[in-house]
Parts: sequence; structure tokens; C-alpha cells
Amino acid sequence: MRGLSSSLRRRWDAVYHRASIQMILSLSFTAVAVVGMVFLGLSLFLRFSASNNALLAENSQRVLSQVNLNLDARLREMMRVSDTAYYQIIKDADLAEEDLTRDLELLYYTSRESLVSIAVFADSGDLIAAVPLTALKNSVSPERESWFAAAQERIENLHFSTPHVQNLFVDPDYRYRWVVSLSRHVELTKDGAIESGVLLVDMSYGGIEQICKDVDLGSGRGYLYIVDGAGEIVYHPRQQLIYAGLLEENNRAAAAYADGSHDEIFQGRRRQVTVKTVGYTGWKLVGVVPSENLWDDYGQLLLFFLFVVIFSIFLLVFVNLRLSAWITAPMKKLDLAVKKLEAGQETVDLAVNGPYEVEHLSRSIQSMVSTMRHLMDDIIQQEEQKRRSELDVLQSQINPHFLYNTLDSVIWMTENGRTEDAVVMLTSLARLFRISLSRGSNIITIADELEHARHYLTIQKMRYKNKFSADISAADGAEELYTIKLIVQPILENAIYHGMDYADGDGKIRISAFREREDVVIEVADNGPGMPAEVVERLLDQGGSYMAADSKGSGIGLRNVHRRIQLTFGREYGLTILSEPDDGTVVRIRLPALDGERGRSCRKEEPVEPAPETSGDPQAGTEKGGGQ
Amino acid sequence: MSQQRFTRWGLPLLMLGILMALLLMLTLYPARAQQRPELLEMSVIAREADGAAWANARRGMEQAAADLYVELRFLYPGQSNSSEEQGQLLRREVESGASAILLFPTDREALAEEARSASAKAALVTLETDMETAAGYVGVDNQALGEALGRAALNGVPLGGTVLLIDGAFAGSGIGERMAAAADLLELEEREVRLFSGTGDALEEALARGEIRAVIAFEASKLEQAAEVMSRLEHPPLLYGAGSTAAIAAGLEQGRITSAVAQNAFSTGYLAVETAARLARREAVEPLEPLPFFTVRRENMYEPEYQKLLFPVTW
Repeated sequence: MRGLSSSLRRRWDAVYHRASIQMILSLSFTAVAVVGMVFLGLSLFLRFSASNNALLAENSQRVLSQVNLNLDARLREMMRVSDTAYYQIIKDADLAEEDLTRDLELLYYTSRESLVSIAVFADSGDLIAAVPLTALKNSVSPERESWFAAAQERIENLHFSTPHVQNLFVDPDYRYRWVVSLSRHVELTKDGAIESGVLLVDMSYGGIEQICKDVDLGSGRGYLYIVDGAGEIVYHPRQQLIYAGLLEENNRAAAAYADGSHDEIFQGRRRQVTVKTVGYTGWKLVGVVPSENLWDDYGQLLLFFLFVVIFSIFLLVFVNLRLSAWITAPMKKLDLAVKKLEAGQETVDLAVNGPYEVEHLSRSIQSMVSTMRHLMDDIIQQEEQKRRSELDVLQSQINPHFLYNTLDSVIWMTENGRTEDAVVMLTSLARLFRISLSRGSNIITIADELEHARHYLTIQKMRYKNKFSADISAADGAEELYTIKLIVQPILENAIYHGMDYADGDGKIRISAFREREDVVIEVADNGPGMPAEVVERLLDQGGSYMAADSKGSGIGLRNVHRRIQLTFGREYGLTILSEPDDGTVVRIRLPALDGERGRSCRKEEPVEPAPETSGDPQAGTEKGGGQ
Repeated sequence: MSQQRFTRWGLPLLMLGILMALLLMLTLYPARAQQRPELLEMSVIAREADGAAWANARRGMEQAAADLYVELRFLYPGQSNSSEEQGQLLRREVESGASAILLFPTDREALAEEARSASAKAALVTLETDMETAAGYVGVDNQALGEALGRAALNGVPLGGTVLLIDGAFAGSGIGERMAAAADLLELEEREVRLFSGTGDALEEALARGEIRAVIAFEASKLEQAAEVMSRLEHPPLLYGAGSTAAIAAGLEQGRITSAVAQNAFSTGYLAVETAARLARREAVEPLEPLPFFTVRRENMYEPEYQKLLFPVTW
């Protein structure tokens, strides 16, 4: 039992987790409604059939009571006739002197409708008087009749016989009439002597039939019959069929029933039997209503009920499916939208009209998605900002080698009395630092950037003993424009280390700044050995790391500059390298042309950074020194 | 209407409509208990001009007619035991469209053709006399009944004694069979058998000669007639016969009839109508066994069993 229960629960869970809300709603509504309907219907049906049975039993008992009253009245009338005949005619008469026939005849005619005959017999069976037929058949012996014997055996009682053919009297018309005999013991006076006798009152059998024939039991489907105490049939609407053996009745069993309603099965058929005992006689009125007739109606009713249930189930399934589809449509729409969202679709309509809860859920999801997108944007922005800041910091850091070499050069110059050169170098270094700091701002004018480049070149030229010359120029209006700082110096550093290292006073570096429509371009060109195309191609590749053949740098300084520009201004800006082996290198820095106002606004947007510390690790630097 | 729309709306609505129609039909269809078969018209063609001799059978027929929703039409020939008239009645009833016919045939051979054509159009059931061309027969085994009568007569007739058999010109009927069977038995038992055919007066004259030790009548009206003749004779012979009318009961009671072989006429009539109705309604009918008969004498006629047999309950 427990195993079955858990198995059912598992199956239900499996179905529950696989099924849609609409299906669960439809099934649940339908199941609950069907169970309720069947329960209610069965309750009503059983209640109806029980009430109907009780009503039928009650009706049968009422009908039987009425029949009993009528029969009782008829029997009382017979008893009254018998009493009258005995107490008013026979008891006072002396048979030796009086003939009873005339008085009996008068009595007979007062009740001739229900009487067949009245007769008085002596104890020996001899006829004393009889009406309306007066002659006794030769062949009969009244003293042998059962009614005669009963009267003699229990002299204090009145005795009703079962129906029998009256054959006592000579009838010229050969009429043999069925009668119920009422007999009693009487005292006869003859010559002053008291003798025993029997008074017989034959009641017309038709009188009983008249009382019983129109009885309506079970709306015409039932019938009534009468049995005596021994179960012999007194009256039955189909009596002759029973006598002929064409029909059987359960009369013997009915005689044993107590008064009230009983269910019996007779010849394989169930029927409701109601019994009522008739006073004086011990007869029993038996009302029979075949239950199969009831069940004919019940069967029809049950069939009708089944059809109604099937129809209702079908209607319920249909309505519940439609109703649940209507209820769950907003949820389905929301689910679909979320699935699209999960699939990565950018534009998803999460606005759903529906019940309060669904709308609330829809709004919440929209809000969450919006918040999530904002957070993601913020994270991306923060990551970019962080990356940019890191790059900026890296860029801002002074290579210790560069600082060491420069200061070493200054010492050397001072020791050798070249104080003027030392002053120039130190001045340029100081200017270089001042522009590098720029009071914490990352955005400076192109003029400052070029000035920074100029000082760097001054220092490097002194260190490299004028192996190369440099030329810095700016087109009109270019110097007022803004740029992120320290983007030229790493390019110059590369140009010097890779292009000017082997120059012998003929190296040339040219820096020019100019506008190109809405952009500004700072071009750094050198006449160094140049690079093959594949090296150029991989130099700015963010994923790769190119190590030059001479191992003086990995090009990371160039990539950092390129990245900083793209992070700050977008992917359409950055570095372009044009180079051919033995034909020099041109690095073009493309920036948006930020005029004064836009430049100032950019400076306001950028976070205030702490002043760069010089103790950082110069990842992008060269071994020999130089600025980042 | 698209396939999806039909599946979602059209099909369920269609099925709902069908269920609704069935429900309406069920509501309007009467309960089985309230259904009655179609009224069946049944003709009963008697053998005698007067139906008194089979009054009890008629009561049984009427009871069956009431039970089985049958309308009975009783037809009597102008002349008793006229096969020609019976043939005419049979033909007329078939032509008028009777669904079922009960016939007391007077002569098998004379009515064979009419019965054959009647059987083709209606459920023909015979009483007293069985016919091959009829769909059914309800009655006693006539040969056995005749032998029973002959055996009863043996008791009162010494060897070589004469027994008069009342011949009602029923040679081609079941009654003739009874007589033939009785005659064969009596002759076998060395009694002289004489046949009589004639009026009551002629019978009285024949019996007055005193040679006849017993008389046997093989059907009710002849038995009643013979009993009436016996009442006029000073030394009447023993009378045996077949039948269960009130007059026969009186004859038994008064001693004019020594014994009577009786069948339950009420049930005979009832079963005849029931059989014919079932046949006409094309219902299954089990072949009927010959009905039982009883020998009733003065001594036992008021025993409950015989009382119910001889005297149908009347109100």
C-alpha cells in the first residue's frame, strides 16, 4: 500500500514536472469537477431511489390500509348479517313451531348484493333453513365440509373459509358460484330443547374482487392479492392463471411475513412486498410492486445520468482547456520572452497584460533585466575604465632605467664641466615630469603633448650624442586640440631604440600634428630600417606578442597606446603603422578633434587619479631605459 | 477554417452537439416500462354456432388478450361443424388482414388448402385438432384422450358388452381421432362398438332398447346432449365423455355422467392466444407439449384441484 502510494506520488511528480500550467489547471479543474459531479449525482441518485422506495412502500401501506378498511367493512357486514340471523332470528325461534326461511329471506334481501346464501344446519348436517335456494343436493354432506367442522370445533368464533365453489343447493341453472363462507356455531331451540347447529353465510366472491380490483399499486405496475393464514390464495387478480398452473405466486412465503414492507426475490425477480393483516380472518393483504419495473425507470434514469456526466465531462474538459489557456496565456507569453532573453536576444518585449500577479511578475522581470543590463554596462564600463586607468598609470610611470641613465648623464656632464648641457638635460627632465603629471589630468592639449615629446627628444638626443635629428611641427589649430597624454613618447621611444640605434648622425625623426576633417592626426615618422609587413601586421595585435628580432622590445608600448586611445575614444581611433623594410616607419595616431569645450568636458568626466608613482614596474620599457 | 482552429474549436463543439442530440433523444425516448407492443388483431374461428361449450376457454383467451395487448374477434359459423363455412371465414379473415387466427378445425382435409394459404399470411394456431399446415397447435393428445375414455368405459362394460360412440361427423378432426382411439381400444378389449350419429331423440330411442351398456361422447356439446338424454331414461347406461362445462359438472354431480375427461380449458384458451401472439410478433415460441387432461368423477369433482379445473373463478 505504501509502495503503491509512493509509486503514485513519483508518477504524479513526474507528470507534474513535465506538464504545463495549462495542462495541470485543466486536469485539476476537470478532475475536481468530475469527482464532485459524480459524487453529487450518485448521492442524489441513491437518495432519490431510497426516497422513491420509501415512498412506494408508504404508498403501498396506505393503499393496503384503505383496502383493509373496505374489506373490514365488508366482513363486518357479513358478521352483522350472521349476528342478525343468529341473535334476532335463530336464537329466539323454536324450530318445532317456526320456519326460519321467511325471516332469513328478508335478511338475505337486505344484503343480496354481497350475499350468495344463508343457511342453518342442524348438528347432524341436516338443512333447517336456507335462502335463496332452499333444496339441498342429494349428493352433498354439509357435515363433511371444512366450514362446518371449523364452526363445531371452535364454537365461540366466527370462521371465514377460503374461496370455494358453493355446491350445496340445487340450482336449476347449474350455476356454480365461488363464495367465501362465514360459519359459526349456533344454539337451536327445538321443542324447548337446545341443540347445536351451524349458521352459514356465503359471501359473494365478487364482493372481494370489487374491493381489490381497482387497487393502484406502484403507478399501475403492482397488484394486490389476499392469502389466508395458511398461505392459500383468497383473491388474486390472476387467480385463474395460478389455478391453471400458468402462473406462480409466492403466497406461502407472504403468509409468513410480518406486517410492513419487505424485499423479496421470487423467480429471480426482485420485488417489494407490503403486507397487512386483516382483522378477524387472519387473512393477509399482500401488495406487490416488482422492483424491476422500478429499475426500468432507474435504469433509464441512470442512463440519462451517465449521459449527462459524459456530456458534462466533455464540456468541462473543453471549457477548462479554453479557460486555462486564457488564464495561462500571459504566463506563457512571459515564459517565451524569458526564453528569448536566455537565448541572448537583445530586444525582448517583456510587457505582458494579464492578472495582477502576472503583470507584477512581468514588471519585476523587466526591472530586473533593466537593472542587470545597467549593472553589466557599469561593470563593462568600470572594467574599461580600470583597464584604461591601469594603462594610463603604466604609461605615466617613468622607466627607472631612463631616469637613472639621464641622471647618470647629468652627473657625467657635471663632472666634465658641461654644466650647461647638464642644466639643459635637467631642465628637460623637469619639464618632462611636469607635463607627465599634468596635475593629475589624463587629457592635455596637443601642444603639451608635443612639448613633452620635445623634451624627451632633447634628453635622448643628448644621451645618443646627436645620432639623429628631430623635427616637431603642428598645423594651425592642431595644438589647441586635446588628447590623452603620453601617447607620442612611447612611439618616439620605439623609433629611437629600433630606428636610430645604428644611425650615425643621419637619423631623422619627424613629428607632425594636423587635422583631418573631424579628427586630428599626430604622425611620427623615422628613417630607420623599417619593418616587414608581417611584423607591422602583428605589432598592434592585442592577442599576440611580437618580439623584435633584435630583442630590444616587444612592441607592448605601441599596443598600450593603441588600446588607451580605443578605450577612451572608440575603436575607430588608434594607431596605424606604415612601414617597409629599409624605408623607415610612419606611425599615425588618429584622435577625435577635441576642441576646447569637448576637451574640458572630457577632463571633467575622467576620474581624478592619484599622482603616478615612479616606483612602478616599467613593463613597456626597454632595457636601456626610456619613458613609458 | 484552419486545421488548428477546427481541432481547437470545431471538433469539440461538433462532439458536444452530438452528445447533446443523444441526450435529447434519450430524454424523449420513452422508458422501456412504458413501451407497449402494437395492438394485435386476432380472429377466433369457432367450430360450433354456439360458444357455450368453450366458455372457459374463451375466458382464458380474454385474459391472455388483456395481458398481451391483443384484440380478439370471435367468429361463429352459421351451422355447427361446417368446414365449408370455416373455410370461408378463414379466407375472409386473411383477406381482411388479421395478423393471427385461432381455429377449431372441423375437418383437416377440407380446410387444408385454406389453412395453408392462411398460414402464409397470418399466424395460424389450431385448437382441438392439430394441422400440419398450421403454425401451432394447443390442445390435448387426442389419441391418448380417446384411449382414456375407452379405458374408463371398460370398467363399466363387461366383455362382449356394447359401447355406443357418439359420432358427430368429426372424422377429419381431433375429436374423430379420440373416437377412433377409443373404438380401437374397446374392440381390442372385446367390447362391441357401435357408432351413433343423430339427434337427442334418436339417441334416446337407441338407448331405450337397453342393449347399450355405455355411451361415450367425445366433445362437450355431445356429452351435454347425451347427459340430457340420460336424465329422461329410467335405466340409463353409463355415460363417459370429454368436456368441462357447467352442465357437464351438473351431470357428474347428478350421476348422469359417470366420468368426464377434462382439460383446463382456461389455460388452453390462454396458451392459444399467447402462442398465436408470439408467432405474429415474430417472437421465439417453444414447441408446446400436449396439454394434460384429468378424469373427473362425482366423488372427486369438488376436490380443490378439480374444483379449480371445472369451475373457473368468476366474480
